[in-house]
Amino acid sequence: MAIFDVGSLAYQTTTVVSGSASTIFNLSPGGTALTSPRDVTLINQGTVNTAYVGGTAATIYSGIPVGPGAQLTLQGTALTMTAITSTGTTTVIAGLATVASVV
Amino acid sequence: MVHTPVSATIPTVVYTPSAYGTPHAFLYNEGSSPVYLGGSGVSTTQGLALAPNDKIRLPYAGGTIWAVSGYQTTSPEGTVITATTTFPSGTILTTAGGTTVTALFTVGMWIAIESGTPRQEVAQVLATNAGSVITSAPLQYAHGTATTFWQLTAQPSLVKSSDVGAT
Repeated sequence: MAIFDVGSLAYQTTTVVSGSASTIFNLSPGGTALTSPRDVTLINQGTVNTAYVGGTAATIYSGIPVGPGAQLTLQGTALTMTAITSTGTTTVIAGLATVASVV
Repeated sequence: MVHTPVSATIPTVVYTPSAYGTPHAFLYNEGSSPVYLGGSGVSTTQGLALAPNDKIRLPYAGGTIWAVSGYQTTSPEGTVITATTTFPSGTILTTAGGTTVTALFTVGMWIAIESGTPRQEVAQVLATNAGSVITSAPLQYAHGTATTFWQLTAQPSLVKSSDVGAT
């Protein structure tokens, strides 16, 4: 359903930790602003810990739980995303996606 | 298919995972205002923003998802001198300007404290008394001196949850 443009500047890999939220999708990766980014997908590549995904400064109470191996795809306007774990670390990859237009 | 009205004041469950198979979620903002998705403590700053007509899909969604809608802040505005929380009753916001200011906050009014920051909270006015605004439930954060709170005007929205269930 979703295809990463892995060669794109928008493709981002982040180690998410507990205690404070990490930015997992940056609208200006490497200091270069993405042009009208839309359709973002992310995958929790970890095998143990859930990533709680949200907007600014996600917490384990305010974030959407994305379990190990699970994927979340936003079809629409991309915004900065952050994530946090309740314990330990996990790796989240995020990037622009090609999505089917289905309602 | 479920259509869930989403308010700015109290997080609303928009998706509950199925107890069978592989639960998946497909949420669509069919309202006219943004909604913010997340856990039970979701807020407009910490939630994942979903603009009108935008969609989100989780092929495996093992956790419940809540949502709140956006809001605008409007007068009156108050500035905190001290905030004292007593559990489980509420938080007393002693306010600069005394009764002249607090009289503008009426019982039942919804307010936003430290709006636009990660410490933002939404609360309902239980009472005003001697220069203080008292919230109907304890605030989560210890809001310090000079933080501000405003009346909020809700911008409710509607979330459609389709393709919900398990495969």
